Amino acid sequence: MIATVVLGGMSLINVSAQSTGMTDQQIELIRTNCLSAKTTLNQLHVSDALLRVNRGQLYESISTKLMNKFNNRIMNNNFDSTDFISISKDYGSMLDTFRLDYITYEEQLSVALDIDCSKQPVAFYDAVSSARVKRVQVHTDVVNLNQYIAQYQLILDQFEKDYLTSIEGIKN
Amino acid sequence: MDEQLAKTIEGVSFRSKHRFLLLIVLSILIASILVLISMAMYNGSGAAQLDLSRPGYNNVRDQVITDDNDLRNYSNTGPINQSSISEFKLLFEQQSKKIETIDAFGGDPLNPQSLGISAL
Repeated sequence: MIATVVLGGMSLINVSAQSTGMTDQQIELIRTNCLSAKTTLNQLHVSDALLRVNRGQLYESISTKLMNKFNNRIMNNNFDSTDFISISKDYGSMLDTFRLDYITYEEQLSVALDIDCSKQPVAFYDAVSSARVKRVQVHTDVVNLNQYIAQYQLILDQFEKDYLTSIEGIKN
Repeated sequence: MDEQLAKTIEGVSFRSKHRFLLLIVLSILIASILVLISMAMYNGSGAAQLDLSRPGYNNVRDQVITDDNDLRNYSNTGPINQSSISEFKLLFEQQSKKIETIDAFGGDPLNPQSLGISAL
């Protein structure tokens, strides 16, 4: 049974090697730079965790302490809050996506860190490549979140303009 | 009938003899199950990713921003007027600027070439 598992694992590695089309030279390069690559990955793992914590708090507080409060306030004062609520909702959904995508990315990076790259260079390369794709997804989520914040800012400016116009209209 | 009675008495006496041992075993079993459930929740909920008290995060632990006093709570009650809109805009812009300062998760640090694992 152990032999079957080992052979199965080896064949998986081979398939992986074939799928990425790695040359012997590249495999050797991974083995040579294994230690430095792992050190870089470890540093990235730690710095990204810190970034996730600080960024997450910031995004969360923008939603709970600002957007939601302002939406409620304009609604309580019988102003049209449809656009504000719509963007806040999309922002909240994107924040959930960001959380989930970060978990996926972190798990993949941990998988890469757990692989002994001197013994399994191809599996290591594939795991790093997969983590790279997942990190790009996290970055896309961040860009989307920033866009929602910019959109909220735009409708806020418009709301202020409309408010001032209506006040001017009442005065005149 | 006598045999059945004897078996019942035997069972009862076994339980009463090993009552303390059973209590210990059951307690350990229940505790183990609860630990497994909580570990699954810890890992599955994403709490593990945010837990910087894990080993390996000592260096960055003190860089966590725990104080967001500069972000005052905007009240969800009160009138809407020029002053309340300006107050909100100021708070919102302050936070937006913080976000713009860093391109979070940008760059390409996992590029095989920058990691030195690509022969290309």
